[in-house]
Amino acid sequence: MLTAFAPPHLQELFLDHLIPTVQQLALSALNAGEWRKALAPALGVLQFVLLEDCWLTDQLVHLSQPVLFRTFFCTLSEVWKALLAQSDEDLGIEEPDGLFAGTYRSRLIAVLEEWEEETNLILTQRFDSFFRRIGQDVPRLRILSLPGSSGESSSEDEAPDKEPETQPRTPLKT
Amino acid sequence: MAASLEEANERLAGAMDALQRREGKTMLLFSEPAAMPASSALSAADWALMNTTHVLLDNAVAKEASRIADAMHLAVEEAQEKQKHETELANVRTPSAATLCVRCGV
Repeated sequence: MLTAFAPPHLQELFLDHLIPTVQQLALSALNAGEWRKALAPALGVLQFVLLEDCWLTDQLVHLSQPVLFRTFFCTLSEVWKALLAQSDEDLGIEEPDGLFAGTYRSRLIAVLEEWEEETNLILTQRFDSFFRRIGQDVPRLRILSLPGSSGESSSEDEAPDKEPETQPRTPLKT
Repeated sequence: MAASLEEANERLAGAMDALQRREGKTMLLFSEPAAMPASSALSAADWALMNTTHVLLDNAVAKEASRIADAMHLAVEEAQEKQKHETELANVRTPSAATLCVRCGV
C-alpha cells in the first residue's frame, strides 16, 4: 500500500496547520474586511513555506483528498490577490521615510513571485500526472502568474488573456 | 576589508532593533541578513534595510505571523522526530537482512 511508505505525520501539518490557517484565519478576516488581520496568517504561511518545502513534497493529502489539496492553492492565491489589491495603508505596510521608502510592496511581490514559480514547478513535476490521471484540473498557485503559464491544460487555459485583479475584491466565500 | 559574518550580523541585529524601536513596529524577516562590508558607505540600518527581505509591521500583526510560522516549523520538527522514532522502532522489530535465510527468507 502506497501510504505505508509515506511520512504520515506531515499530513497533519497540511491538514491541521496550513489549510485551517489559510481557509479559516485569512479568509474569514478578508471577508470581514479586516485586512491587517488577514495579512498576519498570509505572511506567517509565507515565512514558513519560504524555508521549508517538505509540507508539499512529503505529504500524501493529494491522494486522500485531491479536491482539498487543489483548493488550498486556489484559496491561498485568492487570499494573496485580495490582500495585494488593498492599499499599503490598509495593510499597514508603508515603509518609513528615507532612502528605501515605499518599496515593501514591490519586495513582497518579488518574494511571492519567486515562491509561486518554485511551487508551481514542484506541482508540475510531482502532482500533474496524478491529477490528470484522475481527470481533475492540476493544482496551481495563481497569485501573480497567469493561467496557462505553468503547463496546465485545464479550462483555465481558455482564458489566458484574463487580467490579474487590481481592484478591491468582494468578500470571498468560505 | 569585510567584517566577519558574526560581527556584521551583530551590527545588523542592533540596527534592526533600533529601527523597530524608532518606528514602533516589528520587523518580519523573509531572508537572513547578509554580512555587511566594513567599507560600506551605508549605515548599518540602511544596509539592513537594503539587504534583507523584510516588512515592518504593526506589532500585533508581526507577532501573529511569527506565531503561525513558528507553530508550523514546530509541527515539522515533531513530525520528523515521530518519523525517526518509528523508523528506529521498526528497525529494532525487523530482523536485519543478514539474519534471514537467502533461500526462504525465514
